[in-house]
Amino acid sequence: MSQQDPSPDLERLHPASFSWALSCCRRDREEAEEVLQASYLKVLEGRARFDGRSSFKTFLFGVIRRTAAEQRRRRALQGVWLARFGLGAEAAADSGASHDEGDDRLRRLDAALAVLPRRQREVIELRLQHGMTIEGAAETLAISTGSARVHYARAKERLRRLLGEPEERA
Amino acid sequence: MKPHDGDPHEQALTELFAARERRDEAASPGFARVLRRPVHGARGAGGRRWTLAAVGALLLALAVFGIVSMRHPAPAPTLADWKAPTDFLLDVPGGDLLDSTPAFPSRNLPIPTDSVSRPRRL
Repeated sequence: MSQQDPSPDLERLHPASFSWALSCCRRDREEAEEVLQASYLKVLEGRARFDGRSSFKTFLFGVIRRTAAEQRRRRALQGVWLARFGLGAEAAADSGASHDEGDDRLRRLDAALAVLPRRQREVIELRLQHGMTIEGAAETLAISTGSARVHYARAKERLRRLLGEPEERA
Repeated sequence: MKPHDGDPHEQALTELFAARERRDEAASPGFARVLRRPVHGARGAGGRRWTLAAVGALLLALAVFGIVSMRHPAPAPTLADWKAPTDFLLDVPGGDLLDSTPAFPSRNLPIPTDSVSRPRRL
């Protein structure tokens, strides 16, 4: 991994990064692009430095998660102010809509994941969708490995119940 | 180590997540496009200039205030001006009687004296 110019690594991981950014932004495509851009700029401008302790992917996904959290806090604060001035409904209508199109199975998976607590959803996505180890997922989320293991087991169990009962959700 | 470890449910989930990953990645915008999109909420050079100007004006105002305060210091209180904060406790009802000289009755009133002449004993 080159520490001098991270651009090739960023570009190579870009599709996976976008997918992870979507997960961090409640499937809001516009917000995901914004978060991704801010994350790339942090890495390229050296505000987030890769120290080689983990894989570059783990590092980058951690930066994306933190940036999304910052964005969420900023938007929440803006929401408070917008609501105070009576602009909340308009702002809410502009954001949050999922633009996903896909088959029914994926829609059901998206719906089931939306029900999961944030941590459980993040761990299972990192593990099953992005192919990380539990240790890598724990490092990305800045939690202990044991905690990540528990979240993973609970998420799997919850998904088993949610996806096993499609009629109930329809 | 594979995620599912022989668990059929986990294997099905893995396949489902893989399909999700393919769908997400297929919908991803180009790397260059993400980098080149306008930075949301970023303040340009003009915005930064205004911020710097405001901070400069604030510092200048503070400096002027400091200099003026140093040149005209408030007069130091003397010991004679000092007043105990608990002085009000001494203001009791009727306290003014103790602060003034009592007035004696008017001279027109008959005042018994011992100056009445008595017959002298011889």
